[in-house]
Amino acid sequence: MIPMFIKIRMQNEEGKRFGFWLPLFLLWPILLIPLLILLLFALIAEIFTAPRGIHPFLMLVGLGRLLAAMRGTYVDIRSTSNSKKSTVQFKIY
Amino acid sequence: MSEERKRILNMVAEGKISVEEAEKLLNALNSESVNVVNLGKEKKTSAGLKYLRVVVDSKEGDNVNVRIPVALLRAGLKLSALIPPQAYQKINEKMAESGIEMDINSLLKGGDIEQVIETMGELNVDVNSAQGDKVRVFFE
Repeated sequence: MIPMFIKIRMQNEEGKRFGFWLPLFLLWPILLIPLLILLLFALIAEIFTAPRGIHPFLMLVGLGRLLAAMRGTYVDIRSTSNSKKSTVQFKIY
Repeated sequence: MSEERKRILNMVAEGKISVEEAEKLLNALNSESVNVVNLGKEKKTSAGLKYLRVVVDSKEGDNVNVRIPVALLRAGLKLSALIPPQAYQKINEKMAESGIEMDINSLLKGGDIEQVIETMGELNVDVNSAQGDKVRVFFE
């Protein structure tokens, strides 16, 4: 399952908060057609480059798997300087 | 009674092996079955791992909490297996220059990836510095 949302939250030392949800599910339908064209070109290139051990098609499939596996990634960084806190949070849904 | 046990007892009855030798063989059979059971348990626990966690707590109040899905590590390792063979030698040379003697080709073979992930499941790094900073790397 590919990621559907990215949630980013930040807080600076002055206490100002900023956060947003990036709706990736809106992006995937737009990218679908260019991706299919890219896959087709990669498949054709694979025929010529596979004997040399270079696999552009398999590489693209692998990148897709990598993207799908990103769900659940979470990064939370909190810093304190002069008793003022700043935060960066990042989560992929 | 298993086939192996029957065969050992038959060999004793036929006088082909002594009682002591039969005892040794039966003990070896028992330990082998215990190892198989233990291996199964270990595999089950490592398959249940979902995330690699990196937690840093500094005395000054700086904290880092990172959670990376094991599936992402697996996908990354599988992707790295697609590195062209021409690049292996260069990677090995650069690693050797940095003091790390390894053969990237044998490390990234398909069958070894699962083994690498299983071995990583037992990874548990716990660092406590004299200044009170703590770093933990573990799988959950």
